[in-house]
Amino acid sequence: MIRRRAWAHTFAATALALSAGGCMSDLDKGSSILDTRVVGVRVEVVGNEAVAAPSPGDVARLTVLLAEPPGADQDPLGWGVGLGPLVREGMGRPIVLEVPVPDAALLGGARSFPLVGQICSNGTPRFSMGDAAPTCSEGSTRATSFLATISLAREGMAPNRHPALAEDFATLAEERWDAPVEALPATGCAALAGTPALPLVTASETAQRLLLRVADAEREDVARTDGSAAKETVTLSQFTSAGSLKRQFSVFEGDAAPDAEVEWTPDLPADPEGTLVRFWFVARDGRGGTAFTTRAVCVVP
Amino acid sequence: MRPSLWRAALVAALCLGPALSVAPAHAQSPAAPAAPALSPPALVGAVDPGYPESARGSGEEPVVTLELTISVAGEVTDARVVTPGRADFDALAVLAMRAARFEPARRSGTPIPARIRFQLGFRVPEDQRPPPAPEPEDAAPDVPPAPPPARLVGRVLSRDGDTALAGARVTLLRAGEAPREAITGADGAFAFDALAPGTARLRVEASDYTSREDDEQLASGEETDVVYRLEEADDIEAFRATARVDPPPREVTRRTITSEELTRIPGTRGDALRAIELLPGVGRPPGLAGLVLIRGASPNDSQVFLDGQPVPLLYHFGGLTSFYNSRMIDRIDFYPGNFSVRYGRKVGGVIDVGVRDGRVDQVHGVADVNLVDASLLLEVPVGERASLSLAARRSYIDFFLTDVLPEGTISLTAAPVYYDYQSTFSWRPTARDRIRLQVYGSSDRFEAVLPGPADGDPAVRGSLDLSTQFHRFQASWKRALTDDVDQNLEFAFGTTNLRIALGDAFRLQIDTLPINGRAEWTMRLAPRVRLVAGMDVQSGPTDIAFIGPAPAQQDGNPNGAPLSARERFVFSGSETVYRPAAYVEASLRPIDPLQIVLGMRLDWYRDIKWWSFDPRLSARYTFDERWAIKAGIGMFSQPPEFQESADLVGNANLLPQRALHVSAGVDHKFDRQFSLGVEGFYKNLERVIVANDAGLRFDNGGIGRIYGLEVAGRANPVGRFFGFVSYTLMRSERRDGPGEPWRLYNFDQTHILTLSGVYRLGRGWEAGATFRLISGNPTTPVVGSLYDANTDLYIPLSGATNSARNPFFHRLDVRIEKIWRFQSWKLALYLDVQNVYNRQNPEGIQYNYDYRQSAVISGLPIIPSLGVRGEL
Repeated sequence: MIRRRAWAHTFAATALALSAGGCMSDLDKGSSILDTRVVGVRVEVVGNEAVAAPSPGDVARLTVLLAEPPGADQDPLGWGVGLGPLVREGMGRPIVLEVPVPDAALLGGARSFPLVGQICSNGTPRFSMGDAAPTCSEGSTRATSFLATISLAREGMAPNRHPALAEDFATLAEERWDAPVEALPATGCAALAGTPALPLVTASETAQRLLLRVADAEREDVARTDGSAAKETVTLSQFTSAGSLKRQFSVFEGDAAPDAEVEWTPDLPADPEGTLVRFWFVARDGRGGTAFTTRAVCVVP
Repeated sequence: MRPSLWRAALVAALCLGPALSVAPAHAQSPAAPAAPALSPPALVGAVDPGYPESARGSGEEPVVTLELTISVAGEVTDARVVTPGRADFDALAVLAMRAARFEPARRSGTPIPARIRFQLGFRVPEDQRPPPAPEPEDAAPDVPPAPPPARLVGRVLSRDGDTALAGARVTLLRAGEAPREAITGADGAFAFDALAPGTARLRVEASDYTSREDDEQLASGEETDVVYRLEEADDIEAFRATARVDPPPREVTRRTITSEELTRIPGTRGDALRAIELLPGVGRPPGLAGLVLIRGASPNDSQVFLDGQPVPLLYHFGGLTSFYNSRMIDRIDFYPGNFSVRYGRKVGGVIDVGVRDGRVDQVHGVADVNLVDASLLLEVPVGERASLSLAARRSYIDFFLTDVLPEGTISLTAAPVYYDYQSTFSWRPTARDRIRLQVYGSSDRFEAVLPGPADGDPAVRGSLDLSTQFHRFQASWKRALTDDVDQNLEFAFGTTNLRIALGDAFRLQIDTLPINGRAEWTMRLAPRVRLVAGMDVQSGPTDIAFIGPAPAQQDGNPNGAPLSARERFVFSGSETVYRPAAYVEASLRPIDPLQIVLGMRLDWYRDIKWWSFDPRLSARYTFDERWAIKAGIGMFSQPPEFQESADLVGNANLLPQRALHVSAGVDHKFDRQFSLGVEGFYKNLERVIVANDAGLRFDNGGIGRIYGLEVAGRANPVGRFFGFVSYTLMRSERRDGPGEPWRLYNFDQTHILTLSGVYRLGRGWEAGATFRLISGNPTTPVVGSLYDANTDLYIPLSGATNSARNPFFHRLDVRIEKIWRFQSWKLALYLDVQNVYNRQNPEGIQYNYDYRQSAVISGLPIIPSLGVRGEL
C-alpha cells in the first residue's frame, strides 16, 4: 500500500503550476540574460578536448561559460572553484582553470566529483566549510554560486564525448544564421547588419522562428532504462539578451529528429541605429558533455 | 395447544370477532386472546395508512385484509394481502403495516412469533371529500374562503447515531380536536395532511426511547418539515432484541452529519462527503489536492471507510467532488481521534461513510445536472423485502476544456474526466437478517501533451498521464443470532490502479487487488454490559513500477531539486500484503450516567513481520440531559507504506508507527436544537518514519506531537435552520531524528474556523453560507540558490524547514436552492458559488529561475455551479 494520497500532491502541484503559468510573466525568465550570468561549465580533458569525462590522473580544463548582455557593465569578476578544502581562485574573464583529477584511490570508486564555484562582481569569493555555498566579500554587487559535477570515464567504456552542434546549427526566419565573427557594438549595429552572421530584424510583437539543430551523427548511443540502446538525449538551453524566447529549453530526444523550433519575439525598444541582441546556446548530453555557441541579430524599429 | 392450533384459533378469533373500526384512518387492536396462557399480539398505537393519490376523487374507503407475521420483538416481518383489491390501496396497507409495531404474542409471558390476520381500513381524507351542496346564492353568507390546509412531514431518528426509528408513534394533539396518530415507516418518516394552520403539539414515542413533546407552527398552504431525535432510554440494553447490528460503542468523539444536512451545505456543490471539511479538527488541504487532514495528521495516517471497508480515496481529481453519490449516503461518522478498536492500521483519524438501503415503497429517482457533472440515481423496490439502488455520475469538463484552453498551453489527449458508479442491493429475508451487496467504483483520468520542456525543469516535458481508478464488490450479512447476539460479516474485493507519468522522467504505476474482510459479533452479556468482538483482514497483491527520483520523506522535505538535477531511480516489485487483526471491546455502564468503553486490538503485519497491540479506553459521564463529560486514551499503530519497507527502495526492518491519543471534553445541549462541545486533545507520535542520512532509506527515528482544542457548535436541523460553528486551535510538530530541532508539520494550521448555516426561507426557497478562516500552511523559505552547471538549473538552498507560513486563507461560499413540489416529484434549481468574493488565497510560492524573485500562487478563484435536480 503505497502512499497513494501523497501522489495527490504531485497532481496538485502540477495543476497549480500549470494554472499559474500566467504568473511567470511577472518574474524574470531564465532565458533572458539581463546581467552577467553563468550558463554552463564545459569540462575538457587537456590533450583530448572532445572528451568530457576525464579519468583519474588526467588534467581537466574547466571553462565557465558566461553570458553578458551587450552594453552591460564589465564589472571586475573575482572567482574561485573549490573541491573540498582545495580552492583555485582568479580574477577577470574568461574563467578557465585546470584541475588535476585525483587518483582512483583517492576518489574511492566515485563516478563523479563535484566542484563548487563562486563568482563575485566587484568582490572576491569566500569559501567556508560551514556554509551551504560560498559567499562573496563585502561590497560585491552580485554573487553567483555554481556547482559543476565532473563525470569520470568508466573503466572499460569509451569516455563520454561532448555533443556537437550541427554545421547549420541555426536558421532565423528560414534564413541561415551563423555565429558572429567580430566584436559588435551594443547599438549602431544596423550598418553592419544584413549578413548571416548578423541578420537584421524589425522590432515587432510577431514571433520569429528559430530552427536549431544538433549534429545527429555525433550523438552517442546510451542504454535506456529497459536496457535497449538509443541515441543520447541532448538538452539545449537557449538565452537571449532582449526580446522574449518562448521557452528556455529544447530537447532532442534520442529517437526524434535532431532539430527543434523555438519562437523569439523581438518586442523591444530598438535604437534607430540598431540594437544588438545576443543569443547563447548551450547543449548538454546529461552526462557531463557540453557544447556552446552564440548568435546575434540587429534589431531596428 | 400446539402452535398451529393456536394460530388457527387466533385467526378465527380475529376474523370472526368484532369488526375492526377504521375510523379516522386508525386500526384497532385485534381481539382478545383465545386462551389465558397465551396472549396475542397487540397493536401498539395506531396505524395511519394515508390515502393513495391515485384514488383521489374516487371516494373509495376499502378495508384491506392482511396476514401479518410478527416477530418476538413485535416487529412486522411479513405483511401480505389476503384478498387483493386495488393495488394502490393494497400497497399502502402493506407499507403501513410493515411499519406497525405490536406487543408480541406471549406464552406464559415469554414472547413468541405469531401470524395473524388484520384488517385495515381507509378513509377519504377530509380535504378530498366532496364539498357540501352550495347554498342558494342569495342565501350565501359573505364569509372568506377557508385557508389552504397545512401539511406536516418529518422523521424520527435516534439521538445517538441518527438512525431512523421505524414504528415510532407520532400523535398530533390540538385543543378541541381528536388526536391524530401516525406510525413512522422504515425510514422513520411520517406525515399529517390536511391540517388547519396554527400551533400543534406533537408527541413522539418509540419503544426503548424517551418520549418527547414539541409545539410546531403550521403555516397555511405550506409544508412543515421536522426532525425529532429521541434519546435512548436509560437501560436500553435490557429491551433491545432487534436484528440490527449496532455501531461500535461510542467513541469519545464521533461527529455525525445526518442525511438531512449532507447535501445542503454551501460550498460543497451538494456533495455530502465534502461536508466533512466543516467539522472541527479537519484541516484545509492545498487547493486541488483533495486530501483529508485530520487533527494535524498526515493524510496517509487517516482512512476512509465505506460501510466498514477501506476505500483508497475520497475525492475525484481536484477535490471538488467525492467518489460516492451523496443521496445514497445515510450518514458520515467522523472520528478525529481515539476511535474504536474496530478501526486500525492508522494513527490519524477515521471517516466511516454509511450507505442507506433503497426505499421499498415505490420507485424513486434523482437526476442532477450541473456545470461540472451529471448524475442519476434510481431506487427500485424488489418485492417487499428488498431494494436495488443504482447510481452513476460523469463529469463533462472534457467536452469543452479543449476549446477554452489558451493555445499553446497544453494539448489534451484525454481531458480531465471522472466517473463513479454505485449499486446497492439490500435484502431482508427475515426480521433477523439483512444482506447487502454493493458494487461501486470510481475513475479519474487526465492525459495531455505539454507544449515543450518546462522552463523550470526540462525533464518536465512530453506526456502527462494521471489516472486512478478502483472498483469494488462488497457484501455484508447482518444477523441477529439470538436476542442478545448480533453478527456482522463483511467481505470486499476489487481492483485499485494508479498511474502517474510525466514523460520519461517520472512514472509510477501501482496495481492492487485488495481482498478485505470482517467478522464481528455484538453481545449483550448483561443489561449493563455489551461486548463487541471481531476480526478483520486486509490483504491482496500489489505490483508497483516506478521511475523517478528516489522515494523521499514526504513531510518536511522542502523545495526539492528539479527532476533534471536528481538521480533517476528505477524500481519494480510485487508484494502481497496480509494484515489480519482481532479486537474486542466492552461497553460497561456501572452506574446509569457512566459509560466506559474498554478495547484492545491486536494486529499482525506480515510484510514487516511485526505485531502491534493497541489498548484503548474511553468514558463518558452524563450529568443530565444537557451536560456530559468525556475522555479517552488509547494506542494506535500504523504499518509503513509499501515504498518505505520494500527491500530495494526502503527499509524492510521498519516498525509500525505508534501514536498515543489522549482527549477530554465536555458536551452541552442548550435545547433540542443547539449544542456545544469543547474538547482538548494530545497525540504523541513515535517511530515516525523519516529518511535517514543515506537519503534512499528510511528509519523510525522521527517523533511528533499534536495538541489542540476544538469547539463544535451545532444547530440541528429542527425547524427552518441548521448550522455549524467549529473552531480548532492546534499545533502539529515533528522531529526528524535525535538531536534535530522540532519543526512544524507541513499542514500545521493553527486556527481553523468554520461558520456554516442554512435557512429554509419558505415556498421552496433555501439559502445558506459557509465561511472558513484558516491559518496558511507552513512553508520553508528559500535563502539562496546554487547554479547546477550540469543541468542549467538553480537548486534552491532552503532555510529552516517550515519556518515561514502562508497568509491566512479565507473564503465565503453561498448556496441558494429553490424547490418546486409537484404531485409525485420535485424539481430543484440551485446555485452553489465557491469563493464568492474571489479571494486570491495563497497556496504556494513560485520562484523565478534563480530564486531571487518570487510570486504567490493563488488558489481556486470564484467557482459558480448552477444545477438542476429532479427527484421522483
